[in-house]
Amino acid sequence: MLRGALCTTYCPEILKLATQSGIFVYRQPSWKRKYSPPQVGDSLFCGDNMAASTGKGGVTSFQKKSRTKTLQIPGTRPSSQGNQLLVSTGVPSLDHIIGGGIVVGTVLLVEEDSFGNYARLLMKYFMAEGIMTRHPLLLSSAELHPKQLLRDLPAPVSDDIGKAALHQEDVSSEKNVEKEATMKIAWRYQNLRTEQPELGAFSKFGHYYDLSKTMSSEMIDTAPSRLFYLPDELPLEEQGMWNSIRNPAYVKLLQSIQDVVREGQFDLTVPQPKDVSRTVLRIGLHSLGSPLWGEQDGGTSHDTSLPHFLHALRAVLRTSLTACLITIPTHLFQDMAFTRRLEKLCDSVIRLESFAGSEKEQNPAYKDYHGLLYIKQLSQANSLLSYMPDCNDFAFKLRRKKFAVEKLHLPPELQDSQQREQDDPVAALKTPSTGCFSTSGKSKLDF
Amino acid sequence: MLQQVLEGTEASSIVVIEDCVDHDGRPVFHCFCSQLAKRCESVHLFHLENPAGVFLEGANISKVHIHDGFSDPLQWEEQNRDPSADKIDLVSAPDFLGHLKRTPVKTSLVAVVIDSLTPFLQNYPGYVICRALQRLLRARLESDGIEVSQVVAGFHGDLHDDSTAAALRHMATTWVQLQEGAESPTQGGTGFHGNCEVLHRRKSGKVIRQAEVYHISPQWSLTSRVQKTPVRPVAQVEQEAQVDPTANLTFNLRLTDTEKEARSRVVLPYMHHHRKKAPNKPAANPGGQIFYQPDDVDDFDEEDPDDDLDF
Repeated sequence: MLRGALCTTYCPEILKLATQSGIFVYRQPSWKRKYSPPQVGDSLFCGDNMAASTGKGGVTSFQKKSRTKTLQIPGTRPSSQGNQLLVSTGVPSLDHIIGGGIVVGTVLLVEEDSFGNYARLLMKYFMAEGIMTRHPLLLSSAELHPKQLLRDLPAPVSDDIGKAALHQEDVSSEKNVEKEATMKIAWRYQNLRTEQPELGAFSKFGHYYDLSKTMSSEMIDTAPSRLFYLPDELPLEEQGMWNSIRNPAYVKLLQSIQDVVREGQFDLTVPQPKDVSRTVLRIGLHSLGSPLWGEQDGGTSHDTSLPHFLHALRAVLRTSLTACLITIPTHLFQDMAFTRRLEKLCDSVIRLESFAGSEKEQNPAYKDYHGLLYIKQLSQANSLLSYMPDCNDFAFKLRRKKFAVEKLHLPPELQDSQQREQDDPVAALKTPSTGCFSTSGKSKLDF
Repeated sequence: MLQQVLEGTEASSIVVIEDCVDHDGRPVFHCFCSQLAKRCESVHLFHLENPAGVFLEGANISKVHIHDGFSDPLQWEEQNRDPSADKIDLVSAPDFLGHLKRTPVKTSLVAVVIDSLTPFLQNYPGYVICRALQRLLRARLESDGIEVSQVVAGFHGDLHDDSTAAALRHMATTWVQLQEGAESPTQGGTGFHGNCEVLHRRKSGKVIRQAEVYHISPQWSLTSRVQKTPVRPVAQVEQEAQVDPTANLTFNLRLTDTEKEARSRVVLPYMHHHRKKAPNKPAANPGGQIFYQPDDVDDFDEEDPDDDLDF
């Protein structure tokens, strides 16, 4: 059956086969009937078997809401879409735009910016959040030693200080408002804030971090972590020419992930005793697919090791309590088709584009921001539709203490710019987003 | 920036000098060799494309260890197949750190200069070279006492494709792309000058991209300065004198100060009427209040049928 297909069956053997292989069975809604094995006349719906909706792997079927058992794990919260658990990425504004957080059992792919700085920062936030919520960590890297990444995590802002900081910002903004001339004609707008509040600022899920301080090592040691540093794991003799198609680096990494999942009892297919408290494993794979992992020729060499690895990784994640953040430097890949294949193999994909070192740095429209963030795909696990954000233009800025994602606001065009229409960078940005009503033409016939 | 990297004021672990057909990178390379020989305790020179003498003119030879890949890289001659000889061979994968470890005199701060990664890149895929370079930087962790402070490598931009260049650029902390250059004959000898573009990544994450002009004296010292880009007239916002609309009129449109004050005190029709507000009302935000001033013809019906609705 194709994924997403729905068919009704009257044959009990097919039903039995289907339930064993993990295909959803959709029950005809009958409010009085309690849960019973699927019967003739039920429909088969082919979809993913989400780990979070049932205590044991295998078959699920729609049940009445009171009978669903969502696992209560600290540091996670149930999502509004489907029966899933969400885990925070560490940046509350990013959580807000990807639908609340990373769904447990899925992969968030971050396509790195040209120099990898902001992707590394996101990885650090993810790990720091794991330490704050006491989730075990698995961190892999080929270039930097994972210990170096872990030593440099941002320190959390404690709750009282966090609220005080928010209040301070409010107070200062109010003061600014008072200093402005009191509006005489538009007085109803007097006390409205001039800027939008930060995205997702009022949710309690996710912690705030201070980038200027690093997390203390005692706190880092509280979370059990497993580090995978490629040059250590793969001895030098095997680091010659890799002639085989299956890249041994990915094989080793996959084995390591499987070992951790099995040992740490995150696997949901293995029944656990009731009193064991479950927790979510956070996997961070930094800079996968860089030349140090053995990717050559930018994807044109038809080496399928990385897509194989991602496919196998998702199979491991689907049946266990894990959330994974991967960063891949896709700007090094020449073949767009390879990048698209990697995107399709991951659940949520965002791309970072930083302005450092490019000509966009001088563009006056972007002077408040450090880069753009594109959402390319959002996870569609256990539901028909993914979360739809209300706008698609996001930008991020890195202040001294905080990394935040905001909606991209273009500055207003207050006066006629001296430049020609085609050279004006601000006007050039406006044309793609206005649909049919292109107001860029300044001919005399416009009114 | 090029001068600062050369002199060591800007720390950079991997410097790659990309040259092209129009502009030979050897003079810049030579400057790096002589400067590193002054700065570091020892320099390991891996030369594959030019004889060693080209780069060692005017440098302190005692500090330089030469790894010869020029005379017989493919090891056709019998005597060169002895592994204890300090020769690079292209038959096996590049292992710069292995060569470093085999030198008898071990010092702590070492600089490595590689004349051209091209022969390696022609025989091995890009990632093998990237890994070998990374092992050099991690030498300190292998507890042999060797620490590589800087690696300078030459790269020919015309001979390799974009993906290899992109992979190396991902690894390099400083990328010098030489664009145009020529000899500049002076009285003491021949110097060189040229344009280049330098892309430098600091450890803090800041990226600096500058177009520079450099000069090399006959004594192999390099000076560089940032080239000012010609100012595009379109980019400058010219503040024209705002045309004053109240000038040159036959009637008077200007206001005196008293008139301006009187104008600010005029009560406009939709302004907030302070008089109508009850004195004991708490100051609610004006955005949410409704001020209803019934006209004469408004019929205020006490029996509002909508009140019966019960949600």
